[in-house]
Amino acid sequence: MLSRRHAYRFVAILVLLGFAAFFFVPIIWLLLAPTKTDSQIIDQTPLAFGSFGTFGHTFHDLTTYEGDLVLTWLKNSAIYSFGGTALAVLTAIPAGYGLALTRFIGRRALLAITLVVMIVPATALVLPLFLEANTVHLVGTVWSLVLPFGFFPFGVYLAYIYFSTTIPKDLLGAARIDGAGEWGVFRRIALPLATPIVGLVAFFSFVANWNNYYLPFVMTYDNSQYPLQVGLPILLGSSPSINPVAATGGQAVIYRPELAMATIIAIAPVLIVFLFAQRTLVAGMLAGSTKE
Amino acid sequence: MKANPHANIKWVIYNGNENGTGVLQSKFALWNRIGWPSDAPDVMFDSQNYDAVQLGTAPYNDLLNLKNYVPASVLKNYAGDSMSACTTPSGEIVCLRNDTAADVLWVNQGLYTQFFGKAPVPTTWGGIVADGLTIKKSHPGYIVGDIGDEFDDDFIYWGNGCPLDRVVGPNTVEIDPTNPACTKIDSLLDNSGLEGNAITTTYVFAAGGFPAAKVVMMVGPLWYGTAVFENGEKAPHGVPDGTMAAYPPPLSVLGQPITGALGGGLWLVSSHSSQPAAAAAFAEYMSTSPNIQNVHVDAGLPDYAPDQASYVAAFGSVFAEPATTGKAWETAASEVWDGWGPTPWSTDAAWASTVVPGVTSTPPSTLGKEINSFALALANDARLAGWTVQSSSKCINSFGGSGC
Amino acid sequence: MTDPLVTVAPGEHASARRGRRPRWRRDRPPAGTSRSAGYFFVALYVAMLACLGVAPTVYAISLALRTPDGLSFANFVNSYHLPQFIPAFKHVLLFEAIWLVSQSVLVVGLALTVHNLARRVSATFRFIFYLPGAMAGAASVVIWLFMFTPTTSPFAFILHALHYTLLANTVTPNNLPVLFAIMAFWTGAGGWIVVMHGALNNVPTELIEAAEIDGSNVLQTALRIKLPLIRKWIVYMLVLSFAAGTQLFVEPQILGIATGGEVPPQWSPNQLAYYLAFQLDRFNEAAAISVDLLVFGLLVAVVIVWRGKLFEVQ
Repeated sequence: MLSRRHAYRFVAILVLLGFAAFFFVPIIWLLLAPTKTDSQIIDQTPLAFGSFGTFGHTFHDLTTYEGDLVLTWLKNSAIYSFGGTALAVLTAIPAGYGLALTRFIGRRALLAITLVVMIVPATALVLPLFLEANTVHLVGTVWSLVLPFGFFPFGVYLAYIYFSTTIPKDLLGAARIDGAGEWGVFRRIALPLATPIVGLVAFFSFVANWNNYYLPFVMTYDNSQYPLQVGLPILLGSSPSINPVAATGGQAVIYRPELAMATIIAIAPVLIVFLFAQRTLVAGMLAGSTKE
Repeated sequence: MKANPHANIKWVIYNGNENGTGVLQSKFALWNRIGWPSDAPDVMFDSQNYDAVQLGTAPYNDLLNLKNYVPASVLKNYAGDSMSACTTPSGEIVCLRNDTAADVLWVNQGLYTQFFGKAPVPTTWGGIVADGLTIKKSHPGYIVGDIGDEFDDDFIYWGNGCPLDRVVGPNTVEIDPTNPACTKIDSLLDNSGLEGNAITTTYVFAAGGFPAAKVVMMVGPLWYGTAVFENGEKAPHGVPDGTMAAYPPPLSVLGQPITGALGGGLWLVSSHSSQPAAAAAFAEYMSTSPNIQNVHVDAGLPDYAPDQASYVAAFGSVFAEPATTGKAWETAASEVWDGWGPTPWSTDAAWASTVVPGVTSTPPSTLGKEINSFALALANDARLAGWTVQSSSKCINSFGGSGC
Repeated sequence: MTDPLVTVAPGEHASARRGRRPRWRRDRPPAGTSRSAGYFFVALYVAMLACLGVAPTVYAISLALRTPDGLSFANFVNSYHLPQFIPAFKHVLLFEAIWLVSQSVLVVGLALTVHNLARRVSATFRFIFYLPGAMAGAASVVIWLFMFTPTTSPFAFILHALHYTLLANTVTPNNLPVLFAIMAFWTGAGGWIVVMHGALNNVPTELIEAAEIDGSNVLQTALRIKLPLIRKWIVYMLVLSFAAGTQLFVEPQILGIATGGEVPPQWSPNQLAYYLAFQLDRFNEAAAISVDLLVFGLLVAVVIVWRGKLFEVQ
């Protein structure tokens, strides 16, 4: 007779495998889809593998759509996202540190405001942000996206939690007594210990920037300025697989395999970042919770 | 382009207001606020029919009045009433139609002859239903119609003169599901016993592939010929070239020679263009030149009547009975009912969110049961857009559908 | 959380023990440190906060209050009376209810289950769970579009059991809150499971061992010992998820494109606001709806923060 422990473990693994399938199978499907032709996607079993030849054909169809459009979108996404993340890290880390380990009047108020702004729905601000950007003639430029992306109150809050829980107070006290200015303390004590939180903030910022849809849609007005996320629904609408009327106006080469491949390109960078950031991620999150 | 090498026209293809997504509307609305950028497109090709009038009138007013640029003789030559989608209430012409997508009766010539011999092709909806009953009994599995698509309202209601989107005044629309044209077509189809059977509910672009080889006849736009039935890549379960023929669309249930339409693009010229004359000339060229309006370049019949003859003459062996098909296309283009739109909302989207779930579910609902929710969705869209709704239906006149 | 600076300045330490000084006074820089250093660290952030956080919020409110006849609540009233307004809020609330309840139960359950396994196995499962988090937004909708279509989906056996043969069957209006909950769970759960896992790692092992010695089985240990200690993180998850959920826009918008309008373009409040602004050029009413969402989210966040004692500002 199985011991209680073993029975429990068995059931647990089953349940976990079931959920793992739920999370993982769509991704496998997505990766396999470009290897099949449109009819094969429909007729064969969903997780069948097509051929490398078809994969190449799909890739070609997608990357030559409207002349390099998809690659342009990829480039745009990279510029907006990396730019925004760099700015976010540059602002959030010192700000979090300042809120956590320095004292100034208005500190609490600033923290409270940060919490509030963190929760405000971003879409409520898209139009006012747009009008603001227009007043300074930034609409359609890279800055119209990089600047809002660089404003990252959640990152500030994460840095605040991190610095207030991981910097040993004796170290700080000692450095201050030694006569180091606040900047010195920051540079010599906090920064070297900040790698996990920099990684964490950069990670969250990058993922949010890369996956953002509404703001880029409003701030960009030309096909050539769109990031991938905005371009993906455009592809959907031009695909006869999805929108039958698209069959009428001229050539149409975007079918299901191409859509799947476009989706893969759209998620690949974040996926790669996920894989590499895994260790830093976990370390950062754990560090933030050790003293709770 | 060759004739005007110095004109640097920027033109873009848009999906327009496809099913309410409002790509063009959103761009125009923002540009109207902030000023039009210097590299905004001069000419736009829009695949949605209702955009032009909305964008050419208040609060947009962003389209050039082409009456001032295109000779009246050219404008006159656009087929039938199809230019109504380009004419604003004040009489301005704000677009040029690229192609017409009028509904015709598609027939699989081989199958029809096999099942019905030399009998003439039906000319009424009643005739189609009668043939459907024969097929259901003797040749089950074959198809005479479809009500499961997201745009079948364009064939069933528009094509029968049912006023669910009829502009009767400035910002006033008639939405009346109690009109006899509506109730008659509903009861004809619902009582036929063919729904879910010979009148299929399979979406014509279904992911499973539409059984095009099983279609004996079907009312559909003229571009179905190559896009749904005969094109191997676009229609994986299609039929070879030379199988389908088009016949004139059936008379409406009230006996009128009208038909609906689905698609057909518009050429829009921005009124903010820095070179309006050149832009207008470009649009005119694209919609009238035989080089463009050619069956190998464009799947739809040119709306510009003088091009139609050469277009259909170039059919070759693409369709069975090319002469009949060509004639049917031209006839249909001139029969498009003018009582449907243009309104700034998508009737197809309303249909897709009300009727389609109903008729494709298990057990399926009927058109008669769903028409009120369809009409109500249209009324809601109209009211959201600030339009007044006229109706003799208690359901539509109640707020929020409380009287339904 | 202890304040690392309290021990530095003895004078301040003594008065802090008395606890009579007002809280803001305790933020005075301790003797020996620069007054303005703190400001220097937050300067750039504050500038951005003013320009990109506060200013747009104020502008949205002013847009919402502006009418042709001066400042009033007319836009709020008018937008409330639109036939799509109440249904949109009902849709989102139903979605939130289904999503938050199922997510809380499943995330906590999965985290607890995964926590008890061997390190490598646990890490592998957690990795698989949070992989979909990379696909938020438009990409996940495209993926799930294919998952919801019976002829292309690996989950077709479930769809067929429900008698669904077409995408149109899956995406019927009544199913939408559930579909969006599934998508939101798919992309969001993994990250939260990792967070919960981290929180569970901090539960002192002595407590667990003590409970086991007392005869508590795995389930009881989980419910009575571990769960209360991660309660704070569960609340955190609820707050952030709720706020994110009210913004629902991309998913219904793209699903609407893909189904030819079966999801109406004004299904969610944000879609309605977008439609008003960009389709009908009525920015003021759109701003009013945005402010409605804002106030709604804020109210709930404040209540949860107060009751959850979560964001103690020290």
